[in-house]
Amino acid sequence: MSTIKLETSDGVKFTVKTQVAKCSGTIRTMLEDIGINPQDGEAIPLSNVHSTILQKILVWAEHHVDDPEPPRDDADAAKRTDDICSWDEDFLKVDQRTLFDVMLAANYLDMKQLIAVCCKTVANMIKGKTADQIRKTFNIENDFPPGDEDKIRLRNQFCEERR
Amino acid sequence: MEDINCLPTEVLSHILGFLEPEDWKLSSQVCRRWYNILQGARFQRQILMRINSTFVDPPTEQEKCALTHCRNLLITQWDESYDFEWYDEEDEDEEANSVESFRNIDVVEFKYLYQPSPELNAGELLFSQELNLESLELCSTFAGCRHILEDRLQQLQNLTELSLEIDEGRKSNPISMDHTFWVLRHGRLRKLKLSFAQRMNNFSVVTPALTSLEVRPFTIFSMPIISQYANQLQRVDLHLEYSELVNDLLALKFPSLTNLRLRMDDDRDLQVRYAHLQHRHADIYLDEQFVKNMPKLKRFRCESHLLFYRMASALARFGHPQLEEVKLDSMHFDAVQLVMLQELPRLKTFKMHRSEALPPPETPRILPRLYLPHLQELSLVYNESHIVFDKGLAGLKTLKMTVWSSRNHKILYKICNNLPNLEYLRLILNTKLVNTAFRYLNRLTKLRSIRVDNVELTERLWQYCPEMAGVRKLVLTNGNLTMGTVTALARLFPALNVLHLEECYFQGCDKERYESDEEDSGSEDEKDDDDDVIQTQYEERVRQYFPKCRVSLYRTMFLKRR
Repeated sequence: MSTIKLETSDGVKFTVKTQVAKCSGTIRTMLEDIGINPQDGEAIPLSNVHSTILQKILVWAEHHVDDPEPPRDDADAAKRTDDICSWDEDFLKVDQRTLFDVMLAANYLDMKQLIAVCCKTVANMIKGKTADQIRKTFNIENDFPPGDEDKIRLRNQFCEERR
Repeated sequence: MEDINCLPTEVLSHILGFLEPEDWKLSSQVCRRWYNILQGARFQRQILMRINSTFVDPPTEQEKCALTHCRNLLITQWDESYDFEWYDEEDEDEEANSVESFRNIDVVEFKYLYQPSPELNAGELLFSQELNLESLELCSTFAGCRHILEDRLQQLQNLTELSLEIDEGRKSNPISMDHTFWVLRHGRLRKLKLSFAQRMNNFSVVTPALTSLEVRPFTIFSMPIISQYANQLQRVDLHLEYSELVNDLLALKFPSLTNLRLRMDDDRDLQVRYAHLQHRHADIYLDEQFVKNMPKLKRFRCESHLLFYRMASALARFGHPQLEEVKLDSMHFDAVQLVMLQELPRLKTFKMHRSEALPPPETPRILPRLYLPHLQELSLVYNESHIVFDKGLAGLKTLKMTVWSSRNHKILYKICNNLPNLEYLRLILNTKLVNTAFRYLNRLTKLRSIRVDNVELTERLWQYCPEMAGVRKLVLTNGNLTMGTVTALARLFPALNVLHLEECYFQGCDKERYESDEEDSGSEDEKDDDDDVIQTQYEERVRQYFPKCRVSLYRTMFLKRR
């Protein structure tokens, strides 16, 4: 089985199975379209990813390497957030900082399945909370000028889902 | 990276996309960035703002405030006369004095055509400030929206969709008594839906950008509007009220049309009578010209016996080169007409719902056969008749069908043998599957996804089902299952990636727990807790059977044996 080398922002080199590395759309494009030859032994630089995060992401990719392409999603399934498999649930039981770092890296590496499962996890943290609780959960500052928040609240009373 | 707001906008928007609109309201109050993201088109397209009012009183500050930044607005102006028969003096007193009278307004003073005009207040709401509406739906009386539409609609410069539902309630017929002209004028309007309860004389439309038109009911007054825009319309949805208009409609040319939907209620007898007419040569020519003059037509949906009778033969004779999708709903027709679809060279999708294809009287027991090798998607739902699944449908990738025959193993045998390209199979069961129904399922080597509705899947069914290593997605809804079924599923579908159980019931789930926890004191108070514990335990067990699979259990219950 062929392997390639990846180099993270802090200079750590990883040797990874090509198949696993190809979970990343960014790396797949580099290999297939740009034609970087992994046999050269030269490491692919991932300047936006720290080694601790890449390690975590590789664990995820290793586990999901045999997953088929996601089925073209039917509309009813698109919004579900309760279908995170238990392995992923455990995998993402990390502090917020790590979670967001994983998301940033997954976004950079273009790993759609991982981004989706992370986004669902965060969405589950938002669901059913008031604005104040959301701010507390994520440590967000309320930057509305005084009065604006009330205006938005009033306006939102009339909103409903479009049929 | 410190907090969630360091994430790029596309990721944050992805997260918010998983929330329900109810959560969007609260999330938009969190901070400016979230508010701005949720104001984007992706979210606003799905949000509708609804204002219900009599508009007897001027709009409140709250209502006005609500409108800032609104993109899609629905205004429903309800007519008090639905609730008060205010034009009937005898009833009026009774109503006003009864406890049920729900609103404290002076009924006698409330008159539509005089002051205070409700339209004035609705108009103030709409036009007292800068609005950025993209779509507007108005459900109102004629008087309530006439001047708004006539004079002020053009101020809504970004408007592209307008839906007008005009109903005078139980009042007499003021619209047809009106003899002045009524003009709807807008430069950017693309989509227009008109639903008028009465005839609208002297009504005209000036909307040069119009591409989509829905008219119900389609009456004589709508004819000029349709013919005026026939050249540019891409989507047309008509509900015909009078059969006299059919020939007028078929005389039109729609060179840009891609989607056509035609409806006419209760016209079965009409079609039967029409079929017996002797001199139809002129009509046949007309029908053919109509079909030829919409060369771009891709999707055709029909809910009219007469129109399908005429158009099916015209489409077949012409062999329409672009038509990709035909959908028939609530119809009874001769199987001969169904077979005519074979003449459509590019037909990819055929849907037939709540309909019946009648076999010829001389061979009443022979089911129609279709030779449509290019057909990719077939949907046969709640029909009263079947078709034969033979090699003529070998190109099918997607099949959705209701199964109501008790000899369903034979139907499935045919499907498995003759449809080798099938990727998605959905069965809506109206009967119990025969134990051997799935015996030849593995002949469908390309099958990736299965869905069974109203399942009653016993373990014995799976004894005869071969292993299906290619299937990635399985959905079962609305049925009784046992844990034995789950074990069998795990064995037969080893490569499953998605398992979704919806409204399924598992019976007898307390059995094992009962044996192992026998020494627990079964006090009454803990019963409810017990149910929760069983639910969690069993959900976990189902997930354990599918370790590499996304398992979702929606409204699925694990019930104790009572």
